[in-house]
Amino acid sequence: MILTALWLLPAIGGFACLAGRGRASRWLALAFSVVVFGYSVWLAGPYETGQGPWGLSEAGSAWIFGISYNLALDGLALSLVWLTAFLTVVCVIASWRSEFSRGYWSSFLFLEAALMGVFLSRDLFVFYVFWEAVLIPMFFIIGIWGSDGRRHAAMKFFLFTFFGSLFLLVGLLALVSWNHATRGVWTWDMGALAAPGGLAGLLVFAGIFVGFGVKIPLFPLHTWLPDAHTEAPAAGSVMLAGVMLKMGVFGFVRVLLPMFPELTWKLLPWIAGLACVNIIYGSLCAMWQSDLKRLIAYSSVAHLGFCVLGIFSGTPAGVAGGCLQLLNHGLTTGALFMMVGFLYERSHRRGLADFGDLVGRAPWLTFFFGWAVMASVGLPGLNGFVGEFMSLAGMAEALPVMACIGAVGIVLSVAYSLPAYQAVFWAASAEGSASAKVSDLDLREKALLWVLCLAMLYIGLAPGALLGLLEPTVATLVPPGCMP
Amino acid sequence: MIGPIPAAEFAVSFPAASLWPQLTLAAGLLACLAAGMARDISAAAVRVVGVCALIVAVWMLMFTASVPGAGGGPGLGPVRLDSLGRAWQVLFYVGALPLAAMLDEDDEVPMALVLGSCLGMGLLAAAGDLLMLFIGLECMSLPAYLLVARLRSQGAPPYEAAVKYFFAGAVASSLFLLGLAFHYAASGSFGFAAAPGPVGQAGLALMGAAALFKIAAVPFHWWLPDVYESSSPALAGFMSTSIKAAAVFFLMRLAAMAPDSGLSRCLPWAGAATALYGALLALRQQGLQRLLAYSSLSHAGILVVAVGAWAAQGCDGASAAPIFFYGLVYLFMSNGAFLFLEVSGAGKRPDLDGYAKLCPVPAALFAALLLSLAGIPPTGGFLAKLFVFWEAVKAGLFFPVAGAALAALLGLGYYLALIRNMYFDEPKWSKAEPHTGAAMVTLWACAVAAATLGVVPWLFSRFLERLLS
Repeated sequence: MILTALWLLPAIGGFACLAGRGRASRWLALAFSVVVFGYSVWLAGPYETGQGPWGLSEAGSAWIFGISYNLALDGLALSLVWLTAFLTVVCVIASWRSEFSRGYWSSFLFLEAALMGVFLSRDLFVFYVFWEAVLIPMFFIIGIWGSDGRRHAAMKFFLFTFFGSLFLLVGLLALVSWNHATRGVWTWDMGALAAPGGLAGLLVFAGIFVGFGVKIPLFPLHTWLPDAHTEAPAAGSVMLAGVMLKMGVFGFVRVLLPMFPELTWKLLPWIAGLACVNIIYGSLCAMWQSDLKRLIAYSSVAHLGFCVLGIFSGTPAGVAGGCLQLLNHGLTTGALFMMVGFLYERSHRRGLADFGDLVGRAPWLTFFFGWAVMASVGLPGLNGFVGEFMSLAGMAEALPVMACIGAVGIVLSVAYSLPAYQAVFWAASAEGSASAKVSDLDLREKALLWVLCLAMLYIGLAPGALLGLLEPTVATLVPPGCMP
Repeated sequence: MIGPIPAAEFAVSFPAASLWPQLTLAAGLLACLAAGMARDISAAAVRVVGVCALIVAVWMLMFTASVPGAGGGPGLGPVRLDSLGRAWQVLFYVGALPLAAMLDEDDEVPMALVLGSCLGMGLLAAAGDLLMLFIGLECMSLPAYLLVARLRSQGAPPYEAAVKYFFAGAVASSLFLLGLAFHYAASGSFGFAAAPGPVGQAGLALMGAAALFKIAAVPFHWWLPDVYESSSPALAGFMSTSIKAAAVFFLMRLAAMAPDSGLSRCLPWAGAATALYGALLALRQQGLQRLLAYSSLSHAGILVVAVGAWAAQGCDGASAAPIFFYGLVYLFMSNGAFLFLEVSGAGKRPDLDGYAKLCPVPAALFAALLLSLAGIPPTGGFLAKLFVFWEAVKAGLFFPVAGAALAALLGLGYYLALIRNMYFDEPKWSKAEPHTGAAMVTLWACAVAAATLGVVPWLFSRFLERLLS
């Protein structure tokens, strides 16, 4: 029950919010999300005393086809659980002023429940069910509370990622039935499945790779992302970029890498190449955007490329860096999307040309935005630097060429972030600019951003604590003697 | 002079214990008709009688029918209740419950017709030979024709759909009788054993065509959309669940006669074609009831693929579980979706615009049902589709499964579009029609059941073990 509670609590909270009237559901959402966050932090204690590579696990009874409700929590999952619980609290507080209906609040709690389930499952079938369940609340969040193009964006988001997941499902089914055919046991346990070799192995690998790749998203499966991120409400974008993009990389680490170590090394140049395309292509696209939200969305494509680059490097530093970068991106991009949301709340604009000279009107917003931008471009001392540096260092050991291409992405990230920051906050405002409507942050918003920005600083200065948490996961992924 | 029938012989040829559900329904039917003789009959009284008869019939199935000797091998005469027949009766009677609960006419005839139709399905399930199977089929269909004439949707032309339905049913019956004659000519019996030779095979093919007519599989599908569109939503729900389940059961009995016959081999293809055809046409519909009719066509196609897979694996009773599960989940999904039309009074797709803002609760229930119909985890519809496709893949039917899966994907298009109408669009009216209590309770039950079956299906697997044991 100790792990089940982690997804059951927010699910109950979701129903409670639906039942609540008026303002009550907002308070219920806050209460439940805070309790879940507190509970997830408390879990660190039992996790420390847990044994083996899975710090905590929970076994359920077997059902049919070897499916059983098994949960487990390792260091990576625990850190992502923290991120999810934390960002949910942030989202609830960030949308506090908006007059949203109870469905809004419950959607966020249902989303949190499904995400927790993804990170906790050890049984692949349970994993898949939670994986798909994530789509439903997000579909409603984008479609109901998004901006003008929300209908189209919600449908595109759902259909695109659902089709991707079908590849995943087919891959998993093939994997499980292959295991049944060769070893005579039905099992969906991530730890007990072996991978087929030859062409069959390649096909299963491809299916699962596409399924996870859509979520990351990897080029050329990324086209749903700019629309979904741009049209979603601010808190929805925070969850989309902050947590949901991590699901794909998490899937790689949890399912693909342990199961196909040799095939991964063989395909390494291709996958690393794809990650580099992501970095360069995402950065170039970001450079040409005139919409602030869309720019950040494309920057996510680039940042996730660094994660993939690190994780597939097969070196301890690279894998740890890639995993750490997941958390970093969640904090940094989450903060950026939230601030764009604050801007949009005040002015109903988000174009780069719509603003200017915000530094005079909203100095605090300028300060925090600058902080997050610096973290995003990888300024040493803030969190982004650690993750990107470790990813690239790992890749430099495996494939130096790819590491060099990736490093270009860091330069490009400065090239798209700083001009945008400059245009919105420092440049002189043009005729008819929306800057006049922008007031500075209030106490609630400042408090939220202080927490986020100090977290970025903490990871930047002392990444050791988190890296220690990720250590056991990294050790299982990089067995000695498995280097290319 | 004809002497009395020896008691022992009667017991063998008529094992009454296995017919208790049917006898309950017959008693309910008589009670309805008797109530009709009273001068002022209230709708509520009839409703109570009908609903109780159906519930007691299901209850009897669970506990009473398992007396030893109730099941039997071939040659036990016209009545034979095996585990399959027992399990399917659950689908028949539970599928009729929403319609029975919704009938609010001050007249006993519709309820008597519903119970009569269910009685026919019960006989179909307990049929021990082909002749009894036919009697059950007719006994089920004749009341259904009358119901279509009687319970019409708003603005539907009188009798047109009923006549169309009747003619389609008459063609099916004649095909079946012709096939039965061939079968008898080749084998000299009405038993379920396959008849030898080309004449016997032709007989089986003709009888199979009759079953496909009843299911409305391509190319025998043309009557279905009109009939469903012209019926009241609750009746369409009944036809798409109970009657459809009975037709599938009928097809399974025929397929089991010769698991590797030409009929069984063409089933997956006919099913895939039906699923694709239904999905493609549903995409184009503006009328909601017609859309759901085409969607039910698509789901029936997937069921036919499942029957084909079942036949390809040798028609083992226990491995029919995926078909049963699909039927069970679809029972709740389809009945619930049609009931929503009754509750909301929406006729065309634009009528649903912004419905969630006006009536959040029915909209949320309908959205849950639509997600389940589309087969999205964690709903029951996902598990049902997964099991069925899985069985078909195990049977090596890759191309039919691909077709059916494509149909399921197309389904996303029209199911999600309805959610988009309800949730993402602005309402055109400020006020929605009020809805009745019984319909809301049933809608709740259907939506909760469809969603729960996906989350805690082990409730179901224990239930099924008990039923199929």
